[in-house]
Amino acid sequence: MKRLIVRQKWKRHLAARSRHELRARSRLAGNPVDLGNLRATTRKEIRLEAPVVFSLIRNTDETIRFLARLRKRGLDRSVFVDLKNVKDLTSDAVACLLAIIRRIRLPGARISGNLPDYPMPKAMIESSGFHQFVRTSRDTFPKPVNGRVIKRANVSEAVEQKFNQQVSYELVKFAMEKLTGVAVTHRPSYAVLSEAMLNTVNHAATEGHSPEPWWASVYYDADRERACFTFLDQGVGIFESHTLTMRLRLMQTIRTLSSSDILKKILDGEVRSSTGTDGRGNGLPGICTHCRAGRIRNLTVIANDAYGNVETGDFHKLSLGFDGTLLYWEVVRP
Amino acid sequence: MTATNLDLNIASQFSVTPGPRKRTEGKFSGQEFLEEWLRPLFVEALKIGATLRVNLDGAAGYPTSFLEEAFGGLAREFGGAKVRGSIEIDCLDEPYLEEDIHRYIEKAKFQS
Repeated sequence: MKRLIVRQKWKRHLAARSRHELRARSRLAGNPVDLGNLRATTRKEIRLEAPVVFSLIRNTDETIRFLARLRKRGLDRSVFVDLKNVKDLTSDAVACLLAIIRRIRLPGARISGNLPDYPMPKAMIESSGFHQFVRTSRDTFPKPVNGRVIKRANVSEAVEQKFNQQVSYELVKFAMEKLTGVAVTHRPSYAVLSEAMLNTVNHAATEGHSPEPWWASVYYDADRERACFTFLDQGVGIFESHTLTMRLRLMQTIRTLSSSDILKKILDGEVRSSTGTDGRGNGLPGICTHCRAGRIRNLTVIANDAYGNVETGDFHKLSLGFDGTLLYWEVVRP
Repeated sequence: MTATNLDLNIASQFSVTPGPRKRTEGKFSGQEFLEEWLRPLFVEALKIGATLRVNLDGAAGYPTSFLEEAFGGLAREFGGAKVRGSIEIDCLDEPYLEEDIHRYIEKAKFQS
């Protein structure tokens, strides 16, 4: 039954049954309902304008505010995502926008939108792999040349709670092919992607629920000669992870630590693993070590209301919470 | 393989794409590597007084969880001193991994 629920066929069946029952009920009551009007009143389209600097890593607060509005409004209305005035776009925002659109479409939200007028952000969207997921007639867009986006959330994986490292390998090889011309591996990125997937499988879902879907993307920024990786889940986030919460809350209370201070401590390996098992808790500190050693660049972590850039040492609290966890890093041409 | 050395190459003998920590989490896990390759060869090395040389080159990369479960797991079972004394790590691709593995062995608590 679970499998059927996510299928388009099942959704259509439910919608048809609902309309049929509504008609039958209203006929019995002698008060026919115009379903067309009913849809129009419940699905008024609203236009949401994306920030001019549409980037979670550069314009975090404003971008989170826009994405939170999209997530909220998309559940009860049709939304037009207006990207027209976006001047500066980064690949993390593209991945996040895609993840939210796909998430709110599932319960029935209708999302439409436009492309940026500015050539650079427009080219980024067109070549990033974005349209592979949101466009109904995919043939009208060429194969993405600079980016790959992967969503992992199919039913069998959710049930088995497994992850597939081939996905990490494919993304890393794509990035290295773009950077060097040869499809070889980049071991630190492979390790970071794999750790991030494992963290999501093991910690991102709320207790008793199936694992959170995650998104991974890579975009080759030809101008800067960098491969930009994004890993994203819309789970409970690092700070809401149920086994961490007690300890972190205590630390917050006693030492008056902000969430960004705690994020830094987690990345520095000063907070024990949420499992409390010997040998655990090396994942995030290991990711951080790759950045400090220069093997990956510009590592940025956004989780709940904490922002941290390991390379610049900028850790601060956000004005609005981010739903989930985002990891962003770059690999420079060797 | 000589009388004093046993060799284990992860990429060619186990997998080019090492995976998660536990078998339940996916294929080519650290647990699987420990149970099917590392532990048996380590026991054999102890038995004949040889050194087990583990080569990490040629793989796509190593998730921290994989390495910790394999080498930390071995140290939890046999003790850090014994593992350090009988294992050599070779990794020309990413030399820092050798240091990482020694840290996992160091930190692992011996469970007799």
